[in-house]
Amino acid sequence: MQWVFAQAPQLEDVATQLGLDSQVLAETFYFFTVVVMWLIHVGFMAYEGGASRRKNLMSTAMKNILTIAVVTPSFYYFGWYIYGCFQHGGPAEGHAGPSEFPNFCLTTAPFSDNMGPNLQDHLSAVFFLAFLLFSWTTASIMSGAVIERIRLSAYLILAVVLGSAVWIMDAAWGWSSGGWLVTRFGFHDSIASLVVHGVAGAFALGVLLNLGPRIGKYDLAGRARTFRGHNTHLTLMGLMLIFTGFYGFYAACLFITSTAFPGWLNIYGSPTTLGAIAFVITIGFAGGFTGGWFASKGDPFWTLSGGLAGVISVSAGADVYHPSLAYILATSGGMLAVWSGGWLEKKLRIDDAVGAVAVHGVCGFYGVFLVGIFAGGFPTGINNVESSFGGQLMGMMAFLPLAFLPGYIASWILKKLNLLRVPPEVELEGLDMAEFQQDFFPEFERVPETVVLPDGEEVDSAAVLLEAFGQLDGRDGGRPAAVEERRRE
Amino acid sequence: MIDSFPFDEFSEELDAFWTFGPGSSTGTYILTVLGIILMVASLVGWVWLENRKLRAQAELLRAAGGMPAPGGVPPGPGPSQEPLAGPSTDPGD
Repeated sequence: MQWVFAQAPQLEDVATQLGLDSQVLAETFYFFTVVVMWLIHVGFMAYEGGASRRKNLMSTAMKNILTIAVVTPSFYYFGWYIYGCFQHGGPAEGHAGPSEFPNFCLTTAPFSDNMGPNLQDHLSAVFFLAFLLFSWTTASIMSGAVIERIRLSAYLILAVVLGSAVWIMDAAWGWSSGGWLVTRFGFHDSIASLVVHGVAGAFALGVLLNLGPRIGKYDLAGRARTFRGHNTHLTLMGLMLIFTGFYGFYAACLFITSTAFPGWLNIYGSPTTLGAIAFVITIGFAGGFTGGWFASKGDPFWTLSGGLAGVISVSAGADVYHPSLAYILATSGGMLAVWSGGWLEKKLRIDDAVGAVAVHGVCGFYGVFLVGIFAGGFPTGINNVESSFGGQLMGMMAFLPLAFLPGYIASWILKKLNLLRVPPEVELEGLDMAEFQQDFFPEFERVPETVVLPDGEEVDSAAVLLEAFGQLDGRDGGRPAAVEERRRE
Repeated sequence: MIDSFPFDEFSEELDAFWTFGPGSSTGTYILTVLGIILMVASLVGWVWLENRKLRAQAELLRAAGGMPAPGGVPPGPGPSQEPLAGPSTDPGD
């Protein structure tokens, strides 16, 4: 009998094995969240490509593809380190990490033992990858707003600033268990309403102010015209792919461990479950579609964008909201996106091609605002600091300038260097001819490009665009002969 | 042949391992710096190449009469400027 007991695994061996099992489970889990999150980028590419005019299709898509090419290395070399080491506002003495995770900072340096093949560390690489996909998403939110007139290279520089510096700094402050906004004010934004969406929207707003509207977007009286995207079906499919990828995004925002109750923690280390947040995201889509439909009176683009806005509006409190509350709040978020989108376009005359500032920016800030009202008192983080309206307001006040100013300043510098916007001749002809010297639907006959006038009439865009082109800086006296010729045609 | 793998054998005691590694070694520092140089050079290259393309196309459009053809008009029989990059589309090449 003694021999039998001697052969049985010891308690320490079992604990070691269970610990390894839990780590491999987490490693596998995050790997597949990354796979699912790729769909967000497939979706962004289809969404923006469909929303662009035919002449700008590939230039638009190439932005989304090359986002991966620039944000990945810059996030690896700098961004992840910012997250690991700047949670107290700046790097602590001796590059010490936050007291909650004292060794985390040094594991995030690109030359550390943890950022490569390591038999003792299953988690650092997959955590990095999940955050990298968040970074792509943040940069891609800005990309849709600026299509059809920004230089590809200018966008790529701005994507690096946003995806590998700005958003990850605010994530370190307010989307980590050791962030100063969390430990001091109980700031609560569990699935990143503000730290991803709101921040990207505010950054995009700063860029749009310098970039200016597309040629012909506004008439002389300042009334908005509407450009027809070349493929609304592609745009809608893109949005549905983004929604699918969001399930991976939501899942990746949680910690998983099979050796401690309840198995799941939110980004702050507070307990939750995967089912709870998946419930909220699903009913959030339902509410958002509903709000978007009614506020836009059935516009297809805004109905689907309303779904996105609805989810963003409830993401901050997704770990604590009841589904019915999420449904109601998401409906209001879908409506808010439509109304604020119209206000930005028609009143402020900001040409946001896909409504990114309204959907992501406005609803991102709205999401954390709602937590202050509907989830006040909920303990946040491993120090159990109560969330509050004041704490949420503190986060909003910190992140608005942190996001807006870098976007405005970086795009202002590019503008001064004449590197922000394509030449007007190229914009009018279409970016694809300049960037790629080809049309990307060679087998299809070109139909006249149309534009919807402020009174709702849809007309051939050529005369409108040429007239707007002629009015740029009084070029050719504002009414070139070619315009007159086209009007006569 | 360069023997860049500085480890004798695998075991459960081994943690970080890679060619020119492990972490915080001269080899890894050099790789990191080279990667950063490549990243910065790529960004500069994107700006330079695109600027060249856009200026060439804008000059070509201005030379053609000052007013470009908006997107609704057929672009013509072929590329409006010599391709500056990418594979050749000429079957004779």
